[in-house]
Amino acid sequence: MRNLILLAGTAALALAVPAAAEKGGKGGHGQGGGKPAKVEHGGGHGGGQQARAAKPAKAERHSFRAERPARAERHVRAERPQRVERRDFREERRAIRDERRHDTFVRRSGEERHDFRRVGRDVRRMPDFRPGEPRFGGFDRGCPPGLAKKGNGCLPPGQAKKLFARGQRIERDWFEGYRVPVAYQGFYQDTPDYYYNYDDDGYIYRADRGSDLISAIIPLLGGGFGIGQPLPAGYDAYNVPMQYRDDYYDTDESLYRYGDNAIYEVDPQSGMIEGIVALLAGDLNVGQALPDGYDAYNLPMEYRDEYQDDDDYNYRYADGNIYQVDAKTQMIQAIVEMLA
Amino acid sequence: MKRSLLAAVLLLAACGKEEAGNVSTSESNGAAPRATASGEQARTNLLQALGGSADHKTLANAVKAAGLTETLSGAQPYTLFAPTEAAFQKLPAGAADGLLAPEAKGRLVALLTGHIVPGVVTAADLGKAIERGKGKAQLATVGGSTLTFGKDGDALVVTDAAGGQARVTGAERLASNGVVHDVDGVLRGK
Repeated sequence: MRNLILLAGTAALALAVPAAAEKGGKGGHGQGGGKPAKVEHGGGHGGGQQARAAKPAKAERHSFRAERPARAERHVRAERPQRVERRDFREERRAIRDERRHDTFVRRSGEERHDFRRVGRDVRRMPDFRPGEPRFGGFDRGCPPGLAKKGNGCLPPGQAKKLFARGQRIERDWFEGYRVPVAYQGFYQDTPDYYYNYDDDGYIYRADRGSDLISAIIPLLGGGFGIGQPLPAGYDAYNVPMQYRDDYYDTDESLYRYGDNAIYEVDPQSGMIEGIVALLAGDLNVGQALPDGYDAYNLPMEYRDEYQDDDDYNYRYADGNIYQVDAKTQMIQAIVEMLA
Repeated sequence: MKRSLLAAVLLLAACGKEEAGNVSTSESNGAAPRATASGEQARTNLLQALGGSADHKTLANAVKAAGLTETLSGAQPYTLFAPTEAAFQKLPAGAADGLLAPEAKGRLVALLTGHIVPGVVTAADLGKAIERGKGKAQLATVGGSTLTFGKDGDALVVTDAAGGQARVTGAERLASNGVVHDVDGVLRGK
């Protein structure tokens, strides 16, 4: 009897799942269609993520891309020894590590001390602060940016960490000593038109060099992309990397959005971030050298029979893909499997 | 999708046969654990492995507070270096204060993602990598930091970005979406 019920249940599931899949629109028929959103780096929607690429932003990759030679030269370059570039990777990664070390525990563990310092700094540097003045547009009830976080009701719930608004004018010296985290500097480099700032609150701000008005706000994991917070502006379109689309597609119950090396589940009704469904490393890309940190074979069990390290090739997993790596040059040659 | 569907059906069948219940110890987002190529039945996922362990209550709470439950119960494979209760108790006084508060999510996510490595790295894989690397192997975490592994006798020792050391203790536990290694220290920036 139990078997009968079981069979019935299995059949029901088999019928129900394709229906749900169709409804949800596999590959992103929900919001935003099947095409990933193309947002310019630091683009004007407050996004600034490289939404199109399956691989997220990392300083190493960007600088690598910037150095990438024209197509005709690539072949020649590929045969050169990679030693110099490997060293560059290492130094950059070390810088990132050092900074994160500083970030995660020294600076952030003293939250109160930090707040105090920031408030002190902001107030000190705004001697001419006057409530209601246009330059403090987002805080028209007289809350200077640093004070807004102290729970005095100046900012709406969920926005407490976002201290500045788009279109707001900033003073450059408010951010003295608060440069963009190293991991993001490759993506958010100052240009003749724009400069970037970061204020430890989980957002990078892009400001117009001429007017000092904030033209983009780039949210970061754990800051702008925090659980229980509203999805930041600029993420209306489905933008999940291709290899994850079979697992995470929009339905009536959940939307999925990619940003800052993670995929988030979002409640379509409230627009709130409900959970982080996948964390991406963002380190591996075909045509590049295998970065530090992939010394160990790490394939999921079910792929180990098929792809084993040998004298010619190594295989490494990251971000839903299995990559084939040349054992001698340590160059990433190809994606041999997309797991989803 | 076909594969997920097949896995879901297999899982349902397996649960039915085993009177269900004994698999689910914690919440799950319903993502279908992947059946192995050999047809072996999917095991518990990483989140369930944590939830079922009396020695990881603090970590399980932290994972929940950070919003990472779906990451650890989803289909993507991760290697989790799981600090035990004793590891949390070894933290200096005040270091973990307020970490579970809503406003500390950024710090908490940063701390936890420093314990998660993409893919499935078993103790044997680490051992081989250490041998190949002449006593040292590095793993990049999804949080952006790098963990360095070495051996002390037979024991695996991990050094975090700040130079702090912890030992990998106990046996590894394979899950449907990764592997859990217990560590006797919290890995952190400093």
